[in-house]
Amino acid sequence: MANTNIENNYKNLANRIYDLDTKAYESTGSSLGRHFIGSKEKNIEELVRLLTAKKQSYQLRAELASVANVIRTIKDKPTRKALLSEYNSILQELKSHDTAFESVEIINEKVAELNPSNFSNHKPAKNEHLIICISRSHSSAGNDIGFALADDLHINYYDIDVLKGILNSIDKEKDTQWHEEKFKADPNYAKAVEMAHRISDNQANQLREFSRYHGLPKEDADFFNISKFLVEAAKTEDFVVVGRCADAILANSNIPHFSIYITAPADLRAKHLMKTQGIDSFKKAMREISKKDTMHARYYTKYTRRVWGYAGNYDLCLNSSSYGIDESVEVIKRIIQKSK
Amino acid sequence: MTTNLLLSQDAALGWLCIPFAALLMCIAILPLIKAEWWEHNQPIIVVILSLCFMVPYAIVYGIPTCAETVLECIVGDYITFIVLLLGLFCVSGNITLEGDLAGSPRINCGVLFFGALLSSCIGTTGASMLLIRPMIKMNSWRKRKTHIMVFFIFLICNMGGCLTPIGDPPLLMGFMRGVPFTWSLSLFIILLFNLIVLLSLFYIMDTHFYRKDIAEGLLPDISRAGTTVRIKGIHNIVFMITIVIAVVLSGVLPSLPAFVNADGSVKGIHIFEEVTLTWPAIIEITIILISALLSFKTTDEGVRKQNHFGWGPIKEVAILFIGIFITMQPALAILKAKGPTLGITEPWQMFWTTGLLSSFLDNTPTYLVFLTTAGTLGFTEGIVTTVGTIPPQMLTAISCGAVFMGAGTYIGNAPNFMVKSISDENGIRMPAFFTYILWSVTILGPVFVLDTFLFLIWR
Repeated sequence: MANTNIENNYKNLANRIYDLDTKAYESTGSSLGRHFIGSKEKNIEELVRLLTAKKQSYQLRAELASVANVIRTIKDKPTRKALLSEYNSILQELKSHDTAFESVEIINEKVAELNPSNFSNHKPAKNEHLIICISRSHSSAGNDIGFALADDLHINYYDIDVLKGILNSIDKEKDTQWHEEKFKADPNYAKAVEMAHRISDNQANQLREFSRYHGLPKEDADFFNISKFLVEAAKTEDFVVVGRCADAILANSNIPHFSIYITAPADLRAKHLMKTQGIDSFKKAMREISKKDTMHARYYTKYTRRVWGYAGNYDLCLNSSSYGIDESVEVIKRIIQKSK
Repeated sequence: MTTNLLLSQDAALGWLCIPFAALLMCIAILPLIKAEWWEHNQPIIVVILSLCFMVPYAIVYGIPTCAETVLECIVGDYITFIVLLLGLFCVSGNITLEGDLAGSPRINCGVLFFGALLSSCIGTTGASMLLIRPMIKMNSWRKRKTHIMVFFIFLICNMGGCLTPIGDPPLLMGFMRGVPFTWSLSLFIILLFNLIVLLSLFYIMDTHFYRKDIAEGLLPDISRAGTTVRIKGIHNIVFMITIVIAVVLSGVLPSLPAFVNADGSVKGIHIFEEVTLTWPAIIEITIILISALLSFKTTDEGVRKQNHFGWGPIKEVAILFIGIFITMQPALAILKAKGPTLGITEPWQMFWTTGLLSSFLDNTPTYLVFLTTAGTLGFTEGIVTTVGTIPPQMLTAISCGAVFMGAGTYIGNAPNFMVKSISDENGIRMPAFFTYILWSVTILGPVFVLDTFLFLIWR
């Protein structure tokens, strides 16, 4: 009994779809042929089959979309409106019959919530700051775009060189603090320092680094210090950061940020590099690009266990050669505008 | 008639191993399926299973024999064992490593290497108790640290103790039976090989897990200007050395004429039948307990607080091991009776048999059984001991088997279980009994196979 009812419903629906196509065809006055060709019975039968076979609902959706495309070309407004409302009604009924007919959402809610350019899912906190993380392939002008963007938005800019400077000053500050503490605690500390100078610089540096970085390798300690710095900075300021796994660091700390991957075709990047670095050989430039990209990839994977440059890791991937520096800045600005 | 009785008694010994097996099963399975219940009812289970052994044993062998066996294992073995553990547990709990070294693969490797060597100087138990808390503290920022504790058990609780008689009790027994004090240093090459293999493997594993932790956003606190590795309660090292001396004394004193009766037995307080609490044991216990007490009196409570010191781990070990000591008696008796008749004549056979049995039984009696067996094989060249002349290769096999394969299970060596308990108490999820065996078989198994070929067969 229930099965007969469903079958009747599907038949009615198939008839409505077929009739909609007929009306659309008649209203356009086109002589180029309609969507459902052949006998009505055969078409109804096929539509019922598509309705029954849930896994093929994408085919039905395509059929309906084609009919809707024709409807949208009808010049007479009232007819177009009437047919579109019938189309919507059919669509609603289809959704109620078959949930698979609806688009299956692909969203990763956690990622979406952290994306400030996702205006539906991201709910900005009161004191939230605009943070843009840029990953870039070598010589894709990613740093230039990042710098221009920060300049345009009047926000801070951090890249490897700026961050290195910050790390150096942190180290110096720590060293001074360390020596002061030691002098205060131990009057004989001066002698110890003098003794340390007697051993070779290399050994003294190694010992100092061991202590300064709490036994960690320098690269790891730098990563931890940068992580800490970025997480702290995100609480107080807007900024653009280029590289240093900033996107992963901020995501791990649940800090909203907009992540971008900027790249361009390798030959164009090589030419860009030849101009910026004064390299005279194209081959040499290509080798340099490949070497630097490998370094970036290794660093990124080492600290994030993600694949560097994989589109699925970023909110936006940009081909800088398709926009140029200024227009890339504009594109990014257009996307984040509302959130700002 | 007598033969029949002996045969039936032999068969009974086999059946009497069931409570021991049941206790091992309880230790293995109950924490997994009824953890809280097991924690509360451990003493009851231990008593029931001990009675399951003692009552039938008394029926078959008579009450006096049963009482003598049980008292012998408690007075002769358990008391000294648990007092030593208690002493080292207390003293090490009063020493804390201050400083903020961050647990990373290279630091962890360094500690494991240092700890392994330290084990031969102050014993596996002492080194384990001294280093376990600093190790936990250094790695507190990390999520994945089970493997660190497992390798800690492999290297510091067991293997590292192979270089001196102080390192592990079986070697002390060997020393007491005439093996020269410095002979075990000849095992250094085997230890070094194992350390290189295992630490390389550990480094790879630890790097993998370390990177995973970092990728999840875990960071160590390195905000302080520098690292000062400072030991608080360092004076307790004196008490620790005192305890080590007490252990050595317990091995040396019984051979001194002042402590020996006219019949050759060691003097002491007579308890029951052949059971005597010997004066050397009393001296050892007294020194250890006084050291522990003085350690508590002279150390600020803050140090213990910093160490998250609690009585839980030692309580658990004390309860479980009294059950293990009592219920394993039939298994030891079978080993003593059958050991020499097993037809083991090759060093590699000695290595694996001593080792595998040491994984489940106490490694000290196992070592003694096979040392005695080797002594009776009629070798004319080698190390002269009180049990006979034993070729160095054979002694190497027995010593390495007993010391190395103690790492096979949690109950293979006392510090194993202590490390597990302390780790559990500090929030590290340690593998269950059988899972740990899987770790040891997978990691140590191939290393021991290499040892067999490189040092026992091809050498």
